[in-house]
Amino acid sequence: MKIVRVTAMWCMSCLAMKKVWKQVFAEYSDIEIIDYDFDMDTQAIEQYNIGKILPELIVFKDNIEVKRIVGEKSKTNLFQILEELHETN
Amino acid sequence: MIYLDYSATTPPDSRVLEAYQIFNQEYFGNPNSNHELGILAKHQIEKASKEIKEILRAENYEVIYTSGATEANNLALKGYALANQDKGKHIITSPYEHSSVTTVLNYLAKNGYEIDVLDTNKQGLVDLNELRNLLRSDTILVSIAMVNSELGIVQDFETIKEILSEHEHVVFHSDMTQAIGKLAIDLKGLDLVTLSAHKIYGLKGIGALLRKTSINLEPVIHGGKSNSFFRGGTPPAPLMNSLAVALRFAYKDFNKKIEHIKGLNEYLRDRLAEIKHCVINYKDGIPQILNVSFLDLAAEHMHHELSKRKIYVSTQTACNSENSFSHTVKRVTNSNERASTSIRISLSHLTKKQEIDEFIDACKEILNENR
Repeated sequence: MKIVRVTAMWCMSCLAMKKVWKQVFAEYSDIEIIDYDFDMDTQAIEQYNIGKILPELIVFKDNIEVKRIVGEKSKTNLFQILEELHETN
Repeated sequence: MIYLDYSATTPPDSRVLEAYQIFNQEYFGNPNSNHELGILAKHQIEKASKEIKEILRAENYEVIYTSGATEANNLALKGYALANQDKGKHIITSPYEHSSVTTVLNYLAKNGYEIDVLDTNKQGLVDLNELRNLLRSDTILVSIAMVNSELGIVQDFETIKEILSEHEHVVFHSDMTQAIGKLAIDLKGLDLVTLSAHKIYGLKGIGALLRKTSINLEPVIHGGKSNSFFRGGTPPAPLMNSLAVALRFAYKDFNKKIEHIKGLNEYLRDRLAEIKHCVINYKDGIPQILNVSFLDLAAEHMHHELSKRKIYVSTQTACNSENSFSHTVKRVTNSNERASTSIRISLSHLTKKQEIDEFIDACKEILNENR
């Protein structure tokens, strides 16, 4: 599984999520995270049509987009989303 | 023109402008020069600093002049974190900070610091139990703005100070840009305080970080021996003096000004009640700020239409990639609809009742046109 993660330096929700991501993604060695900055990587993220709210995580399975996780999520909620995505394997 | 965006910036007080001009003419010497003209300018800066400290009752602080609040926040956060990394790398903040705090904290997070962002309750106040629980031996800094700029939420500083008083190793920084000049403030318990002149009818390009003299910082702008060890560069003496003048007049007739603004705020709420599908997003903020949503119209559209009529308000950009969605409003109201339609109206002692009436009439007209 691959996750494209778009954040911005001015984004408070991105800052708030850092700790949650660290804890949650430590449990999933099979997830590859690719980080993009909303302001710095404008060309690279153009193809993803990023919405109004950051952070935005785009989940890919076999290079096919299967889900977008937008905004702040609790640790429990994020675990739940990732578990569901793994179950559909 | 009807200006209702005083929290974004304020028109300079004519007395500030006059003082700035006179200072430029009479004390143009470089305060770092050792000749008489330089020494004269340096003395004037000392007088300005003395006045700032007297007004804010900040006797045990150094006034470090900066280019504004953004630089002051950078110096407070980066400066303290870098100078004290041997003590720990844990920092706690609130979710309602200005982007100049958020950006610096994201930068520090990228460089190995651990940042905790406090949860908030239904009143928009930071969770004080969580603050108690998060404090630990390697926590070096807590940074919480006293007044949020979008909704005017005033944090419970008395309790925060009480909690932090039990953790003497933790330094307390507050971005008081939206508080100073708008509220009577008490700096007791604060170690680092950010302020800006252009929010209090002063000039753009000058602000300050008040540093309790026991607090060590790493300079962000290194330079030669200057007004402060912590901020290099030739001191912009006329601007520094203008900050003191702005502060002096911001607190002159203060109670009278606040009463006028409170009256306007109540009147504005009464008039807004006439508009269908208009909701107030936060009712307990400072009287200078009222954040409302016109649910029938996207914020940027309302903003644009008002602007066409020479009526100036704000939409907010917080954690969003477009300027129509307010993350802060979403957090407080839990409504995407409100967050997408929110407008900040900010009032001043200069605002007239007639301006409120014209604003309301314009809103009604715009909403009718867009039905």
